[in-house]
Amino acid sequence: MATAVDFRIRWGMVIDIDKCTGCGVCLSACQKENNIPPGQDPADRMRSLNWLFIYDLSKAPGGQPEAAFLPRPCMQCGKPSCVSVCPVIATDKNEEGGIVSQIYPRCFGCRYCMASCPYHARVFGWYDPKWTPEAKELITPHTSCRPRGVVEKCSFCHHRFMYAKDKARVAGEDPGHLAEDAYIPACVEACPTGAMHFGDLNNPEHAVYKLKHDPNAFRLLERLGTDPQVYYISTREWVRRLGDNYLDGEALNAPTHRYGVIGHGGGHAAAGAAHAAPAHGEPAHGEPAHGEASEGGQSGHGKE
Amino acid sequence: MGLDRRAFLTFLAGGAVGLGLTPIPYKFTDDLAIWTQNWSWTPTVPTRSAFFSQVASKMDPGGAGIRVVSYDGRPCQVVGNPDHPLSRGGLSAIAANEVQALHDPNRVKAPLVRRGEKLEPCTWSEAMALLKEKAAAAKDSLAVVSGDDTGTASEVLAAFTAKAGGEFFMAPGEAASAAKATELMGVSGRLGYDIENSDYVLILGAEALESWGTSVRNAKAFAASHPTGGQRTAKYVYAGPVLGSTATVCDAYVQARPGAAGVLAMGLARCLVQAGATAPTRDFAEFARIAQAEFTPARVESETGVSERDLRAIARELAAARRPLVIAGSEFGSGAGAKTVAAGLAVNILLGNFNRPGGTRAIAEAPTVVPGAPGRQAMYGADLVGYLSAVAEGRKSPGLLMVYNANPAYALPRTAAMAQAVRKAGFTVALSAFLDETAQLADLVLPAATTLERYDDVYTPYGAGQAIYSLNAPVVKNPAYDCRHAGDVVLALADSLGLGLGFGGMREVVEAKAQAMGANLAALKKGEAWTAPALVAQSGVSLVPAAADHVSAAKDGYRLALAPQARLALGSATVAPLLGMNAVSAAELAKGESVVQVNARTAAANGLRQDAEVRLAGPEGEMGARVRISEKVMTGVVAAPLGLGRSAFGQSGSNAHTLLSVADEPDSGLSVWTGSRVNVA
Repeated sequence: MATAVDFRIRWGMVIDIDKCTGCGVCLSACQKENNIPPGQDPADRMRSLNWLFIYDLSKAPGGQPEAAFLPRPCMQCGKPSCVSVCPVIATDKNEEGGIVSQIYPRCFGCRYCMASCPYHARVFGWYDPKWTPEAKELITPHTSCRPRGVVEKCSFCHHRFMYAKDKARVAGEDPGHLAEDAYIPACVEACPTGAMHFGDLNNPEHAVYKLKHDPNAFRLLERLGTDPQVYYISTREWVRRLGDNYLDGEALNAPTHRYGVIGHGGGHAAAGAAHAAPAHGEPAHGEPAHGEASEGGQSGHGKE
Repeated sequence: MGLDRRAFLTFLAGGAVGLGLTPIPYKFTDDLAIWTQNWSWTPTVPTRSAFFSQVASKMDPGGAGIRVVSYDGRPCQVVGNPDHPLSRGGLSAIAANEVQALHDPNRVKAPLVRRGEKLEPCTWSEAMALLKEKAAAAKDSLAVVSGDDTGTASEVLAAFTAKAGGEFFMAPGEAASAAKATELMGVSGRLGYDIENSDYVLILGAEALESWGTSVRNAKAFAASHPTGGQRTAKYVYAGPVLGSTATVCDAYVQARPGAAGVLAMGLARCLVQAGATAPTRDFAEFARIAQAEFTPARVESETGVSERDLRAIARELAAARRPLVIAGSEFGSGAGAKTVAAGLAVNILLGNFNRPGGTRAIAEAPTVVPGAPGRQAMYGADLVGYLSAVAEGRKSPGLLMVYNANPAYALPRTAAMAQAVRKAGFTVALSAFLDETAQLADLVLPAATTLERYDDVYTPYGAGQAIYSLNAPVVKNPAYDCRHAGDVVLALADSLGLGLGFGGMREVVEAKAQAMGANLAALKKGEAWTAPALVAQSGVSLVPAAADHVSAAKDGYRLALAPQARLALGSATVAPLLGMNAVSAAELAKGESVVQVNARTAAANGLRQDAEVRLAGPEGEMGARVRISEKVMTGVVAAPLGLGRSAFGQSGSNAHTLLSVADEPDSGLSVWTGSRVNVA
């Protein structure tokens, strides 16, 4: 486990799961922005190079049907397990802002980082990307094109961070103190339902600073101690319970770290086990259990 | 002294340690990684600074405003336009693919003419000469189809058709349903929804946050009323067969069978009337009598699956809201017919929100500028599916069939019959940017310009809350291929036939349109949207057509109701975002096959297992698929994704349009297909 560095700026995301419709525009925006090659079969996890996945969550059968979508970018962990295992320092967390870097020309494809990432946030180019003449016309200047044999991952559109700092310098402003929305990744910018929020988690002037303290905020697999810089919010307990591996009847976990205010911690029994089925190309992590079916014609959920 | 074994090992160990202390192995590994990645076929990225152009997406049915980013003069990327009222900086998955359409591998690169079984390239002059010859020979035996609901190009095509004495059809969709509904009810203007100012939004069937109407704007309105970590200012309720994109985020969800939105709306109308709601229309008493007699809770529960308790609870909430709004439509953007939209409008009128803030609105039509063009309701007057069915059956025989921005051979119900009609027409011309299923069957394919290559416009897409006009100028200096705007082709054809429409090109047409509306042309050319909040005052509105003669679901021996699912990430009726289709879900496509979803109870009743390969069979066709068991789907319903199986593009999956079966809607004369049923085995 890497030693945590206390960055003055920590770029982070807060994703409101209750507002995500799973429309996939974040995936499209990410693909264009970061020159993710087209032509891949998104349903094939081995080949898919999407940096962002959308998990399809369903409440367990038996009660009223409920569902949610969970977009999962790189968590940009405060204590990233990928960094310490990289033999060539192709990935590091050493820049103000706390974004875990990935240096493609340095990566030689050993994939230790993929094995160590508990979020499956990293993808590997097994095959030469198919840059047809038509597809080459669509290459943007932001992110270099990667060959096969290289691990890739979400960078929070790090180039946009650099552009924002350049813009601040030109305007005579402090690049170390960017205003809210001066820097936002492509997925956040494109999201039509406002489900994704982005900013400096350490800056009280940014909305994410307040949102991460929301009583319904949680992080994925928080008890592993990776200190992710991506927070999720859901008012529904069954969704929050999917954020970590809870035993039946176990209460949502209490704060485990300086940023962690998770759930209500009231010790309520589980609202019923829930399962996460893959959407947008993510493989199934076990077969969902299907029990009693919901009644046709009954009223559904109410997030009252 | 000799080199003994100990000395040799010491030398080796010392050498290894020494080498390890130098940067050599690390530098070598680093260089190895770099040079093994330095392939000629890995492209380099452009370096120039970005240039932004503002247009309104023509592929997005909701006309979302976008900014196209060009590098080195090449459009490469689309971002949202925060200043456009239909997008507010957001994007839809299809609008994000506007630049991909420019370089889509399936684009028609030159005019194609059929010689025997093959389509072969020809020059534009040859193609136009052939088109003129066929049009002159066909005379009034001409049929023209347009799938452009928002552009003045449809006006050009309709004006040409009228002058030639032919028949004009708009491709079916929610705009067509709404146009017919307003005609039946005597409403002037086009129907709009002020979703931003509503405090209670009831959505019946329509996927308002995904594929219905101005979906990006709707999503932005939803986002504004549901601040993250704050108190919501509006309640969204969805009723439909699948817990899909819209239902997942709504504050409450009620299961209702596919195609049930109209009957459900009338059930709500009955509850509201019983609670004392009235409407200032001359036939309110008759409407109330029909609602009372025919839309009893028992019928509503039988046909929609919504219990009386839920029905009354929704009606109470609607009545209690300050600015309620009801949106009724098809779950997949077409086939609902006029009655569904009319019933939704009737409920809105009973709630007293017509032409009020937060309610439904009548928005003025744009003035027609092309001489001889029919009005909007006349343009939407004829039923395309009925006509093409007649062509397929030999009851009609157009000498010339022209199809623009529509793909009847893929995206309509009775798909096989529609394809047959395209083949049977005397001479079929496809004005298409892509070599789609219809173009492949056509006798002449004229490559149409994509959004970024043409002058075009967008006027108030269906669902918008106010009049909005955007004008598009070409973003690229030179089109990617030898293409022309279909409007320019038709204007030139009209001139050559002596039917001149008075315009030399689409640029003149859209500029005339802007001036006729009193919009600022200079601002429009910069990509700014023109808006007008004025509403059309109403008189003589009739409610009875909303209540009379709803089509009931067929009892035809098919066991399951079909709930097609449309997502813009999988394209629209005309476009498949092949280069950018990275957002397809495992709930839609698995192992190269379409995925259909049923819940566990339906699966047990029909002997279906998770991941089993099955065939779905309806009255009009069948398709193969894999089963996914999901409690998101109502009992007795099978959900199937639309937008897959585009055979012309070699796309995986199956075309679920083949399963749709058609019923005739009384009064409106429209074909409806939201109540399709299938067997799964």
